[in-house]
Amino acid sequence: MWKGVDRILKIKVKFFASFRELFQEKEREVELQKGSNMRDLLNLLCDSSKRRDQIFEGGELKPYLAILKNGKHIYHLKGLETRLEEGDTVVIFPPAGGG
Amino acid sequence: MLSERDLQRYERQIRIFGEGGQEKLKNAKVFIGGAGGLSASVSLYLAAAGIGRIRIVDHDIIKLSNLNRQILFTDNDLGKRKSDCAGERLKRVNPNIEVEAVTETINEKNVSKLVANFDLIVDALDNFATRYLLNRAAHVNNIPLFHGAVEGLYGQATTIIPGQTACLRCIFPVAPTSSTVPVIGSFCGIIGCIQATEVIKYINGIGKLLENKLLMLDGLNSTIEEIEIQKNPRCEDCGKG
Repeated sequence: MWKGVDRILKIKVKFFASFRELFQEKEREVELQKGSNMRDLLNLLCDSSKRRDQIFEGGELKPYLAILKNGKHIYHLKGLETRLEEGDTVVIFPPAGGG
Repeated sequence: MLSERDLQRYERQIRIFGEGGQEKLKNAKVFIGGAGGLSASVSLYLAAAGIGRIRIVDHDIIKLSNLNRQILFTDNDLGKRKSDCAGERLKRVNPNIEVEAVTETINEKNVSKLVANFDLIVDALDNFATRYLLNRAAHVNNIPLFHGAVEGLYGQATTIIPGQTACLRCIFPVAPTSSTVPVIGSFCGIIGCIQATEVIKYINGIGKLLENKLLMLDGLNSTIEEIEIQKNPRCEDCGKG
């Protein structure tokens, strides 16, 4: 029991803009195995082809998506290999580009 | 020095930031990149507020499909240059300010010259490639940048202070594919109004700005929320590269 709890990390995921419709919620608390990274999280979240197609392109992340870990874009961290830690907040949305 | 007419014209806002604040607006020089949907509300409200000098830059001509949101223009302006019509409209709104309309495509070569000697830059553009040029010019010249963007019923805004806050490239390191996006004029107007309010607050040093905060507007669900953002110390535009 103790060992099991110890191996889990909890993070918060917040969706914005059209991703709120895509994921049908504003935010979610997610439990992952310790040592998980952003790829693990996104694979977990993308539980349908519709969701996967909005996030990934040929196995890689769509480069223009805003995916922030605690306010920092993962592009400036380690991309999909960015490690997640207990208590992290991940924000995901497609940026608006028009004017 | 404010005239008697200025004191009457701006009486309602002088109650907020005083005659000194109005003087600051009168002495301010604001560069507005783009004369489209965001620019319509930003430029009209900044002109009405008494910003002393506005330079508005756009390369395009007015098309029928612009008129659902670009309320600077009317049917009579179709086929004319956006910058010219915008400049004329702003002068009609407030004849006491200086308005300069520039018909140019903002590019790597001219951007620094275009923004030189301006106190603030408003991003009222419709594409990220040009936004990145303004972002870099803002940091090279140490000029605050007021970002806004819209797509459908979603939009975002932030205020970027060189040397202090995350910049546009920290937040959005890769540009979304450039394409015409669906837009409702009224929603575009909301984002532009937020940018204009940020400009007026910045000039007067009042309130809290959207520094290191991305304001997320969801017009579909009528919500406004903030996302905390952080500077990238190695950012190629605002960091050590």
